[in-house]
Formats: sequence, C-alpha cells, structure tokens
Amino acid sequence: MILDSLRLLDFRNFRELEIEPGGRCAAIWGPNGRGKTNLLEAIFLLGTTRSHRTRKDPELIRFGGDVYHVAGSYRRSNGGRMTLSVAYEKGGRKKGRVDGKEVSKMSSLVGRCGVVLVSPEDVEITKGEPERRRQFLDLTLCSIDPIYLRSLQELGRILRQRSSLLRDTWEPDRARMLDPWDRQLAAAGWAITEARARAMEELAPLVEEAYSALGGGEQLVIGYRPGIGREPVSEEDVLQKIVAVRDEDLRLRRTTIGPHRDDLDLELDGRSIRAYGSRGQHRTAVLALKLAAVRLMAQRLGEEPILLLDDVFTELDASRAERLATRLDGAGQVFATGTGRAELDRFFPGVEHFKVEEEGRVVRGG
Amino acid sequence: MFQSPSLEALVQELKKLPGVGNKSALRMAFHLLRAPREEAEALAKWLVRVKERVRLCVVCGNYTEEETCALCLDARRDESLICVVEQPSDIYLVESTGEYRGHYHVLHGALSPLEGVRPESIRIGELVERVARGVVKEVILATNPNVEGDATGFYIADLLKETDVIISRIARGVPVGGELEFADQLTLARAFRGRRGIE
Repeated sequence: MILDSLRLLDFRNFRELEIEPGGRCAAIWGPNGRGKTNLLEAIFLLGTTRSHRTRKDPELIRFGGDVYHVAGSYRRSNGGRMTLSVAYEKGGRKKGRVDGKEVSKMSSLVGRCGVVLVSPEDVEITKGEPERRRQFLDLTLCSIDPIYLRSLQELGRILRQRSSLLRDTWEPDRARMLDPWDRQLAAAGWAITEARARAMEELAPLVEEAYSALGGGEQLVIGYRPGIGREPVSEEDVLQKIVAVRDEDLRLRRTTIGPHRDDLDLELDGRSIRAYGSRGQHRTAVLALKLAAVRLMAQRLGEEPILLLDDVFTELDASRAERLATRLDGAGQVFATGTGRAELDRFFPGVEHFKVEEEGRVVRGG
Repeated sequence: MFQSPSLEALVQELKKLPGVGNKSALRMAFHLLRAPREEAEALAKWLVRVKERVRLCVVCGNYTEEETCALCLDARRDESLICVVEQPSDIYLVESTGEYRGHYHVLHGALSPLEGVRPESIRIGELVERVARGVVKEVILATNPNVEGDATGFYIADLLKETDVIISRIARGVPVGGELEFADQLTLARAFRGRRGIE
C-alpha cells in the first residue's frame, strides 16, 4: 500500500497540512519537538483507528481547535485507489469514512491499510511486562482478522462482568451465576488462543530469519505460552479448566485463567532475552518482531503494509541500520523520522525528503 | 444564548431523550414553537397519558393499557411457543416479520453484574413460572447477540434444563436480499460457523 497524500486539520500541532509522499520511502526530519512523530501517529491512526500514544482522542485535537480531521489517499499494488478518513469532535464520537462513505463501526476501518510502527518505546516488548507482548500480537492480528478484533472486545467485556461477580461476596449462588460467563470465557478464550497460536506458528520462522538478517549473531527463538495452558484442544477443555479453578478464582477475586494471561517466550541462544538481553540485542529483537509482522500482514492481507520507523536510525549502530535498510522489501512504503537529513540519506538513497519546520509547516525536499 | 428560560428548559428536557443531541433538541424545540398550539398540546397530552395508562402485561411483560395485552389474549396465537426478548421494542421487530405466531416474554433487560442487573432484576422468575404451568413446549431465546444477551440466554437455558421444553436460540446470519459482498465480514463469519445442512 502506498500513501499518496495525507491531509491533517487541527491534528496535534498541525493546523492544516497536506503532504504527498507517493514514493516508496519518505524521510521526515527536523529538530525534536516539531511534530515528526505526530505525522507517523496520523498514518497509524488511519490504519488502526487509534493513536499509538494515547487512548484519549481530545488530546489529539490541536490546542484551541474543536475537531481533528485526518485523511489519507492510498494506492494499492494493483493500482486500485482508496481513501480513509477519521474525524473526532470534542464531546462527540469518532467517525470514520472509507471512500467518503461513513462507516457504522470504527472497527470496520481497521486493516484497510495495514501499518506497522516501530517507536523507541517498543523496546518494552522484549524487556517489559507480558502485556506489552500481547499488545504486539493483538495489533498485528486485529489488522488481519476482524473476528479476532471482535473476540478481543468480547473477552474484555466478559472478564469485566466476571470479575464484578467474583468481587460480589453477597451473592449466595455464585457458581450458577458464573456459569453463563464461564461458557463465554471459554468460547472467546479458545477463539483467541487458536488465532494467536496460528499466528505465532507463522511468525516464529519470520522472526528468527529477520533477527539473523539484521546481524544478530545469535539465534532468536520465539514461542507462545497460552494462559489457558498447553493441554486444551477444544473449547470444552477450556471450559473444564475454567470450572476447575472457580474456587481459586472466587478466593482471589480475579480470573486466573484465559488469554489475558498469555505471554511470548523470547530466547537468544536458549537464554531469556528479557532477563539477559543487552541494549543492542533488545533493539534488534524488536526490529525482527516488527519486520516479521510486516511479512505476516503482507501475506494475510495480500497487500504490503506501511512501515513507520520513528527515530530508529539514531538508535542503531551503522552496520545494523544498513542491514535494516536492505530488509525493508516486505513493506509497501516506509516512513522514517530522524533529526538530520544525512543519516536518512545514507540508508535510503533516493528517498523523498520532508522537513518539519516551526509552527507545523512541512517543506518538501527540505 | 437563550432569551427565554422556558425554551431553554424545553431544550434541556429534549436532550435527555436517547439519540438526541444539542442540534436535534434545538430543531425540535423550534419546530414546536412554530407549530400550531394543538400540535404541542397533543404531544403533551400523550406524554402524560402514556405515563398514566401504560403498564406491563401481567403475563408477558409487554406494554399494554389492560391487565393482559392483546397478543397474550389472541386465541389464534400458539401458546405452546414463547419467544424471549429483552425489550418490548423487540416484539415489534419480531412481529414486523410476520413469521412468528407464538407468545412473547419480555425480560426488560439482560444479565449484567457490572450494572447490578441480577436474575431477580429482570423477569426470569416469571418466565420459569410460565413454563412450569405446562402449556409451553418451546422457548425461543431472542436476546441480543452480545455477551450480556448470550449470558442471559445461557442462564435461562440452564434454569429450564430439567423441564422438557425445547430451548432454541435464534440464528445469526446474512441479511436476506442483500448480497454476500455487502454482508460485513463478522456477520458472514458467524453465519458460516452456524451453518446447517440442507434437508
């Protein structure tokens, strides 16, 4: 997918902006604090309906404005065209349009244009809590599978309803009350676990390959650790396990089993990267995960996603950065930010330049 | 912006209605101001009257002005069938299909521990009593296709497990008349999951 034009109105620090990238690689550069990341955020928003930095849409409205508007016009690899837009008015509901037609649910916008973003905070995927690794998987899967997105929303609702019951110690017959929720937890839990397991089977070899191509000398092995355990082979098995831990759940007042407890194991030559990884190894591992996600999305969507690299090159040593630049073939289009023109020129010969100046102005060519 | 406290109060009241925001409330208020006096009086009269006269049918829980609603009294309807819905408005939806000729049971809600909606808060006990009287042969669960509606369905199915009534859940599927191309992916996927053999 190629983003031909991006229009912003009252989004973050941009009052009114239109840029026309169109090529395979675009470099966005300029001093810090001028809104380079905001441009990537807007492209990410069009692909996923939300910002990667905040869940609060009012924060995205330019100071002093009432409505933000983000619109992108895209070109598919077969030449087909598409426009996507997202608008949010203070106090209102977020609205999305596909080819000018308003969608009834924002979720139907997700995955129209696949995006993969790499930001400096992503080092938490390999370093941080399991939640960060689940988020990585969810972000990848939601774009390629609308049913997954729905199951995930349902799971969240089921867990909130269930924990409300678990905390309600006044309820005399909690087992009977829990039953309808447990059955749904089993159904949603099984659906999500199956989807994650299937995706991980495809991702694992891609991650391993990307890591060594990026110049990691070690072997990166990635595995899925389902929160429902490894034994269940059906929804009924899951339900049995949930029912078996009911008393425990009631005592602890939380749901101890389900995909909300999933984790990914990441090992470098057999040692946990989370525990033993160096700074450089974490960075390379995160890039390998993201490049694998790009490949998986390209395979499943039949269209190469857009790759957004936020400040990635400043953090990488020269040899890894060069290897990264040669590994971008799975992506349809790449946007990379950096503080200087030279560092981006080095890795992407022939790149289109967009210089972000003061007061949210962007100059082409720079 | 208002030079009239009455107008402002009217707009505030209209805004409390579901689906009515500031703009719509203003449009309605200005429309009523311009309309003949009788139109506003008729609206006011019926607003008060529904509050005074409309109550729940003692049998099914539908809105009625009698003790028992016309649907429950209609001898042509099949009383061995009960369709369970969350809201009276759902009855009008099912009735508009002309497909169903049985009786109804309105729960007035769905189970939701988060919002404090328990089995006793909705009309589940009344349903069990109706079934216990022995006339009912089949209960069709037509609660909403979301986690709360499904939980309510499972709960009722479990309560009625020991009786010999048939319990069914309405199918979810592709809209008829529409083309597959236009069914959203989720509906299509669920329709596949719930597919049936051709007799």
